[in-house]
Amino acid sequence: MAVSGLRARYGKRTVLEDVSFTLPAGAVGLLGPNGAGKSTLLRILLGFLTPDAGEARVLGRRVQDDPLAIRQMIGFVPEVDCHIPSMSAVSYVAYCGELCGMNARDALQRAHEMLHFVGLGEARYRSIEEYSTGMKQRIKIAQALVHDPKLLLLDEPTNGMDPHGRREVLDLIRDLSRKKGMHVLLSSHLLPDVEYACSWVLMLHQGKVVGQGSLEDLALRRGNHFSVRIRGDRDAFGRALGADGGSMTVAGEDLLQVTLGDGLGTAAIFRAAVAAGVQVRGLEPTRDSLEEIFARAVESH
Amino acid sequence: MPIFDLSYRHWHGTPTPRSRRFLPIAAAGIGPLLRRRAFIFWLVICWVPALVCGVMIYLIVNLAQTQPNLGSSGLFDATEDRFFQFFVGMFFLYLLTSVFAGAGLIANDRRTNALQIYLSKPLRPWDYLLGKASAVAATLGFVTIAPPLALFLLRAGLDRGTTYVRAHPLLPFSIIAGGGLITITLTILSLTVSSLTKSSRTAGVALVMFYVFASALHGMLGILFGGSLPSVLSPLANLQQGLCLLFGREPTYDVSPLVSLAALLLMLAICVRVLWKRVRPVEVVV
Repeated sequence: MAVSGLRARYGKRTVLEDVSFTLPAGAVGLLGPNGAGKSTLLRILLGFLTPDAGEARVLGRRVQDDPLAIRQMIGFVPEVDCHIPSMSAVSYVAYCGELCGMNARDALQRAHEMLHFVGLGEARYRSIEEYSTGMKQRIKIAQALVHDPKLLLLDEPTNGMDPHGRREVLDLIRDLSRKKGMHVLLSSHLLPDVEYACSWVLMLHQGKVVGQGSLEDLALRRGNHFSVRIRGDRDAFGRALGADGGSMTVAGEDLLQVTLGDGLGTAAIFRAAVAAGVQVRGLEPTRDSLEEIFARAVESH
Repeated sequence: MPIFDLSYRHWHGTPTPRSRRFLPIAAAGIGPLLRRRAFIFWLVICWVPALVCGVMIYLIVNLAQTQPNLGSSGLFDATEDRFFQFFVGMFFLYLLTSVFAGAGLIANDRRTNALQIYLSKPLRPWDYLLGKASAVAATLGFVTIAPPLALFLLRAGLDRGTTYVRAHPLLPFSIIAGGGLITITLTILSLTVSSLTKSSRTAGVALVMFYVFASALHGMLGILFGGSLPSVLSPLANLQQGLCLLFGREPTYDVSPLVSLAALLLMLAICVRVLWKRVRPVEVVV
């Protein structure tokens, strides 16, 4: 998926401003607070809205040229509660399959499979109108998967779900991207959801891209911060670090957050440990949480 | 057990051509109607006038030798004039059928945000509208075109030779065109009104009110200013004028049927424009 110079406006209000990015395969989180432009971006990728400027390419095709061909390869899970009235779950999902061009027999068979897959096998003959919020979220996923899309777009898929159900849906999304070879774009304002299910994030804030990259890289971006476990005199260790231009804060009983001066590596920690006579029992680069990464990205813009 | 353990298999089938994607929508529109006993009962009621006319045709044909005046006694003798009267007499039933079949089709989808689901599939808004329109048109056609056509076939079948068919060579085409005109008009009108609301009940009431209001306006303006020109404001009057043209009758109103048809066409064009605007996956409120 590649987007360049995308601009979108609702009347006079600019919703997306010069948005450009290229996303890799796998599970990507589209992160941002409410009103950041996430849903607008998804709508443009689906061909629902025409951007004022720029272009978007999905699975190698330009969205503005052939939105139908793209939608054939996409499954979309909308944010809002939506279903087709007066249908049981299995008829609904099968119907969605037929709308995507599956023959009635295949569509019905897939509908049963997908409803089992999302955990609604037992409730598949019930009317959707009787479903709970969590069940409605799941059936939205089932209808999006019925035609076996290459890319799944999910707009706030865990809204209104209880913690257990939320974890199950996130597990499912993770499974789809890691084991079933499906690309996933998960739009959410819930950072833990994105952190759990995705390996790459695109951060939007006030209609602009404020950061993107793999979670691994983003979390390790501050390379001179380390989490250190020691046994011994913490104060002495702190003084020894300070002599080398470093500093530390206490993060737990034996856990310290160490910041080294520019140009210093982990050797400085061991030097300080030797000088202070403490034993280093653990050392790893500090990993920022997604919340910290996002806050930093917003601050830097 | 984690829910994804029930596995996921890829689908390797070939999608049907896009030109046929409206068919499931049409079937999904008709299916629920036909599962309602009340609607089946309604369709039967709509066929009752045709059954009565069928009996009349049978009587006229079989008793013609002993009762030569039966044809001019007011019974249905399957002439152009009688078919015109048949259509006009059935208007009320046509209207209510269009209300039952069409009022909820888009309104219910709007109520449940289903348009987002439809249009996130490889479907154009036209495919969606064509599917919905096909559902209403098929139902209406069963009431508008099928009964008079069955009467024509009955009359032709009861004839020992081809005298009747040769005497009325254009009649089947007039029936199909007349029924088609009514079907298309009522289909588009009912879908348009349906697209303006999120409640099927409101749409139904609004549709009936629209016909009543348009006819009342036509009547009032006719009384106030005289002449028949206000008839162009009423879709039913315009349909009647169109039928006059198709069945070779003098126009009911003192307006050229072509003008009436042009007014009807304009109204339908406006309706299609409204439908096009309303059938959107997302509503952007500026």
